[in-house]
Amino acid sequence: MLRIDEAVLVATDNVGEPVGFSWRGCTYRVGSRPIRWFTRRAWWLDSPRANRGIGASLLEIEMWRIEAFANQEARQFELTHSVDDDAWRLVRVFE
Amino acid sequence: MSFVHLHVASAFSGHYGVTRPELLAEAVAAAKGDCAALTDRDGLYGAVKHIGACLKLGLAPIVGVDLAVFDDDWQALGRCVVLAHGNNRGLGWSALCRVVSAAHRPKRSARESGKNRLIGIRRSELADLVQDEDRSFATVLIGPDSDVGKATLLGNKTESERALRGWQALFRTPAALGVEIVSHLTEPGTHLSVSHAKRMLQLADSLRVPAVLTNSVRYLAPDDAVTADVLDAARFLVPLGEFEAQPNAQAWLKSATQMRALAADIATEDSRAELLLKHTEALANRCRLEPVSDCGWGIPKTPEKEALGIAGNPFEVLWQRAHAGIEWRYPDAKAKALAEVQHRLNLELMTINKLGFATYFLTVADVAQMIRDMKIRTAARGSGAGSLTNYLLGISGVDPIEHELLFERFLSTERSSLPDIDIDVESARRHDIYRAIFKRYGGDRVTLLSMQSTYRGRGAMRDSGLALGLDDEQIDEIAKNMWRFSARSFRNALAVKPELAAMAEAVEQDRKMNLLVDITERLDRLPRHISMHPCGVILGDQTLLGLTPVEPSGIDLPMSQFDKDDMDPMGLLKLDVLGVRMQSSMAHAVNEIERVHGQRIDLDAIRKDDEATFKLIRSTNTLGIFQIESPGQRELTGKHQPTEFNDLTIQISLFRPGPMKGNMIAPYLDGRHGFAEPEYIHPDLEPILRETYGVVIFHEHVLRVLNKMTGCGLAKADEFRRRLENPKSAAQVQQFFRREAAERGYSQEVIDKVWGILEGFGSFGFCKAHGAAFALPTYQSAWLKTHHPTEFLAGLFTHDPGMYPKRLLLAEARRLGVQILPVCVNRSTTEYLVERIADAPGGEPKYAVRLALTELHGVSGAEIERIIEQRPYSDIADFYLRAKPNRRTLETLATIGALDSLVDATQHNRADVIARARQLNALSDRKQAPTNQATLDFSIVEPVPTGNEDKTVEERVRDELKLMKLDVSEHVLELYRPMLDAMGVVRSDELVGLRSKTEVLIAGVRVATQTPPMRSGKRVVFLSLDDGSGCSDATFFEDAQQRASSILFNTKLLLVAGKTRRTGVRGVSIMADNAWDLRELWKEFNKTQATAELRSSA
Repeated sequence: MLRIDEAVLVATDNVGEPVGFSWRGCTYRVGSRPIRWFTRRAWWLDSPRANRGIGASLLEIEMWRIEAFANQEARQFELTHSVDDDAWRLVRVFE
Repeated sequence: MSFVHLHVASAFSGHYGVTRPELLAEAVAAAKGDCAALTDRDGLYGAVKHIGACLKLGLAPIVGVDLAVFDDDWQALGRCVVLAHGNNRGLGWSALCRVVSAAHRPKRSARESGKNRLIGIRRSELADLVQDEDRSFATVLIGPDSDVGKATLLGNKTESERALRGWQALFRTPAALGVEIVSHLTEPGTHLSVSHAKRMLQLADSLRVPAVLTNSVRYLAPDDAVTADVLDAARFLVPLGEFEAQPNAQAWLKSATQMRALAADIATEDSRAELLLKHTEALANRCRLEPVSDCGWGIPKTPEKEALGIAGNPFEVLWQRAHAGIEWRYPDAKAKALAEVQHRLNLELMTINKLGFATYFLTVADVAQMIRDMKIRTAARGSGAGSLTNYLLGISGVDPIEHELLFERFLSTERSSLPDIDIDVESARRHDIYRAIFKRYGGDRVTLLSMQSTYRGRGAMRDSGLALGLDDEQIDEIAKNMWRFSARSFRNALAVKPELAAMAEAVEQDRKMNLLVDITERLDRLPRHISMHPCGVILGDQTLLGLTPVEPSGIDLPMSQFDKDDMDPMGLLKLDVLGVRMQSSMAHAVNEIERVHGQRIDLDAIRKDDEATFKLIRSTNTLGIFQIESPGQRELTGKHQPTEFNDLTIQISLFRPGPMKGNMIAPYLDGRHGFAEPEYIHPDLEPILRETYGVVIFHEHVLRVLNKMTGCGLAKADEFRRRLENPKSAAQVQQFFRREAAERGYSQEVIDKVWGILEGFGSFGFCKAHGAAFALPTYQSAWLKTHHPTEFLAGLFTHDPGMYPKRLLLAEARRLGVQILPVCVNRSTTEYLVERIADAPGGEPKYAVRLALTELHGVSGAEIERIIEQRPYSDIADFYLRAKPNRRTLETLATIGALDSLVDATQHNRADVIARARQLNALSDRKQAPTNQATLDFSIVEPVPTGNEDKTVEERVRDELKLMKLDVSEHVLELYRPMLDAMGVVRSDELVGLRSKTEVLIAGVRVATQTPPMRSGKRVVFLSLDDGSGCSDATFFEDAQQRASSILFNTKLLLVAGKTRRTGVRGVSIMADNAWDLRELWKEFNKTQATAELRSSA
C-alpha cells in the first residue's frame, strides 16, 4: 500500500459518486461501485476551535474506496472528499 | 415514509449521550414520525421526560435500556438493548424496571471475581424477567456490541452461530429476541461497517432470528459528535488521544431516507431491505407504550390502608384525626375562635375529599408522627404551613389562622397535582428517619429519590481540561476564578469579567485554552452524575418497584432512577424530609442545657414575644441565627429593626429574589419608619395590606385582594395569581378583574391602580406560609442565642449550620464572652460539649465550650474512637501506649495542646509536650501497654523534657489554623496588628460610630462572597470580612471590581479601602474602592520595617 496525499481531479455522477479521476497524467475509470465510508481526525491536536455548530467536518472525513482502471490495469485507490469545498485528494493506493 | 429509531441514547446516558430527551422527541415530531424510542445506557434516567415529551408532541413513546449482559460465570457477553412491549397493562414496563434494578443490584455471586459492583445482568436472569412460559414482555436486541457482534466481526461463522444460539436457547417465546443491524459507515471490514452489518444480517437470516435496523444513536446531529468525544474522555477518565475514540460522526438521528439508504446498502436485495424496515416497524408497534395503563402515568399512588394501619374509609379517618387535633392545638380557645377553626377545617377537608387526597394526608401525618415519636425535631416548610389540616395533624407547627395563611395557596380544586409537603428535620438524624420509613412501610413501597447533577461552570471546565490533557494545577488555577456563571456563556464571560482578564489573554495566545472554552460550553447543563436527592423519599403502594427502577444510593438504601420532576407525571408521592442543620444545632443546644443545668426546654412552646430576643436581633449580631445571618439579611435587619414575630416572617420573605427584583423592600421600610404615608388605595384593602404598609409582598395578599375586589373565591384567586406570571394569560385575568371590580362599584381609578400593582407583582412575591414556617426556627435560634449562648454555640459548632466558615463562630464566641476550651484527649468528644469551669469566687458558676476531636485534620475516625474508648489517660506515654495514635496524629495533638492536660503545667510548657511526643514517635516500635499497672516503666525511664522555649501566641495561632482551620488562641488578624495599627485600619465595631462617607481602611478574613441578583442586571460583589470585633461588609461595583480583579474571589485575608455608607439605624457598609492581599502588604511592611531599622542602626 502506498500512502500519498495529492489533490486529484474527480468526475462524479448525478448522486455525487466518483466515476473517474486523473492522477499523475493518467486517467482512471471507476470500475465496480465505489464504497463511501467515514473516518475521523484528532481535532484536538490542531484545530483552533471546537465551538457548537462548527460542523462534523471538524471530526469526520469522507472517504471513498475505489477500484479504477487505467490501461486495462485495475487498482484500488482511496480518496478523501471534503464536503466543505468539494475538494478531492488521493490518499492511498493499494498494490 | 417514516423510520423509528429503536436504539437512542439521550444525555441521561451519563458521559455517553449528548442530547436531552425532549430535543430528540421534538426532532422525531418535526420529521413527522409518530413514535419515538429512548434506550438510555444502564437505566431509565430520561424515560419519564421522554414519555412526557412524547405525550406533549402527540407521539407514542417507546422505552428500553442499553445494558451489559453476562453469562452465568460473569463472563462478559457485551451489551444488548431491552425494549419493553406496550399495551399489556404494564407487564412490559414493570419487566423493564425490574431488569434495570437487577442490573444495579450488587452481585453477590460475582463477589470473588471482584465484579460485585459492576452494572449489568446475567443473561439467564434477563430471560426470566422478560418472559414467562409462553409470552414475552420485552424484546432483547443483540447488536454489534454483543458477543454475537464481536464474533461476526472476526468473520468466524461457526463461532457467530454458536453465540447467537446461546441467546436463542434462553429467549424462546415469540418476539423475545431480535438481531440489531447497525452501520455507521466505518472503514470496510471494521466494527460498525457496512460489511459488518451485512454479516450480521446473514447470520440472523440463517438462524431465523428477526432483524431490525437501528443507528445506535447517541446524538441528535453530526456536530454533536465533538461533544461525544469529550464525554468519552470524561467516562474513561483519560485525555483525548489516549483511548480509541468513536470511529466517526455517524451516530446521529438520521432521516428516514438516510436509514432506507443504509438498509439498501446492507441488504443484498431490495426485498430484504424492505423486510428489514418492516420488521423494525413491527417491533416499534409492539413497543408503543400506553402511558396510563402501562406506566401508571398520572395516577396517584399512596400506601394501601393496611400499610397505614387504618381501617374503613380514609376520609372518615382523616376527618376524625383532624377534629381530634383541635383540642390539642387550641386548648383554651373561646367559642367564637373554635367556630372559625371548625369552619375553616371543614372547608379544607371538603377540598381534600374532592381531590381524593385523604390517604395522602394520612400518610404524611403518619410519617410526621413517627418522626416525633423518634424524638426528632421537625418543622414544616413551604405552602403546606398554610393548611389548618396540616397544623391539626401535627405536620406543621405554624398556626395558619393566627398568621393569616391561606390553604388555597397550598391546595385547591383548581389544581389536581399532588401537593408538596416538606418536613424539615434534624440533619444528623435524617438517615435514621429514612430507615424508619423503609421499616414502617416496607422496602417494596418505599425508595429514595435521586437527582441528576448537571455540568455547570467549574465541573464542565474540569472535565474539558481533563479531555484536553491539561494538568491539574493549570485547571485548578483557572477554575478558581470561575465565579457563578454558566459554562454556556464562558466566552462571553471572558470578555466582561475583570477577574478573568488573565484567562482571556491566555485564550488568545493558547490554542488549547481556546478549545477549552469551546468544549466547556458544549458540556454545560449535560447530566453529570446521579446521586441521592438530599431530601426526597418516594412512598407508593406495593407496585412501586414495577413502576420505577432502583439502584444503590450513597447509603444502604435503594434510590429511584427518577428525579423530582418525574414524580408528578408518574403519580408518585414524594415526601421531602429535609435535613436542616439548624434543627440539629438547636436539638444539641437543648440537650446540653438539660445535661448541664437539668432544665428541659420545649422550644416549640416558648412565647414568641420575648423582648430580649428581639433586642438581640435588632443589634444585627445575628451570626448563627437561622435565615438572617447572611450579610444581606444582616444589613436588612439593621434597617428593619424587627419587633415581633410577624416582622421576621416579613423580613425573611423580603430578602428573596422575587421581592428584591420586584423592588418591595424600600417602600415597605419607608412605610414602616414613617418616611412615607402608607397608601392602601381603597379602605377595603387596608385590613389586607396593613401589616406591610400597603406593599403587596405575599402571594396571600394577591389572593385576598383579588377575592375582595372580584368575589372570585380564594381558590380561583390562586389560579389567577399563577396566571399573572405569564403576560399572555395575565391579559385574561385583567379582563375579568376589571369587569368584576367595576361591577362591585370600585372606581376606575382604584381599579387602574390595583391592577397596576397586581400586574407588576407578576412572579415577584413570596408565599407567606413559607416565610412564617421559616420564621419559627429563626425565632427559636435567636431565643437560644439570647438566653443560652454557650449551649447554642456548642450546637452551632457541632452541626455547622451556617453559611460562614467555622472559625467565624470562634470570633463570635470571643465577642460574646463565651470561653472556648482547647481540644483535650481526656475530655473532647466527637461533639462540642459544654463544661462547667472553675467558679469565680463567690460568683456564678461559669461554663465554656470544649472543642471536639473531630476538628483535627488528618485524624481518622478509628483513632478518635480509640481515644475516647481508652480514656482517661494519666500521662503522655500512657496515652501513646493505649490510644495508639499514629505519628502524625500524636504530633498534631501535642501541637494544638490536646495533651497539655497530661503534664504538670507548672513544670512543662507546650514545647516540652511536643518534644515528648517526638521522643515517643522516635521509638522504633510501640511497647505494649502492661495490664493492671498504674505507672509504666517507660515513663520512669524517660522523663518528660523540660525547659524548651515555649511557643509564642503567633506560633500557636499558625499551628491551629494549619491543623484545624480554627484560630483558637486569638484572632488571626492579631498577627498583623502592628501593620494594621500603623495604617490606621478601622475595626468593624467602630464603623457604626462613623459618619457616612468617611474614608476608611478595613481588614479581615473573608467569610462570605456574594453576587446577589440586582435589579439593574449589573454584577455587584459583596465581601464580608471578619476582624474579630464583628463582620463588616464591603460592596464592589464595576470600577472597584476592575481594580481589585483577581483579589476579589481568591484572597483570604484582605485589606479594603472605601467609604462608609449608612444603611439604617444599626447598619453601615463600605463602598469599596479597592482591595489588597493582606499577606502581600505584610511582606512589604516587614521589608520597609527592616530597612528602617537598618537605617536607624546605621
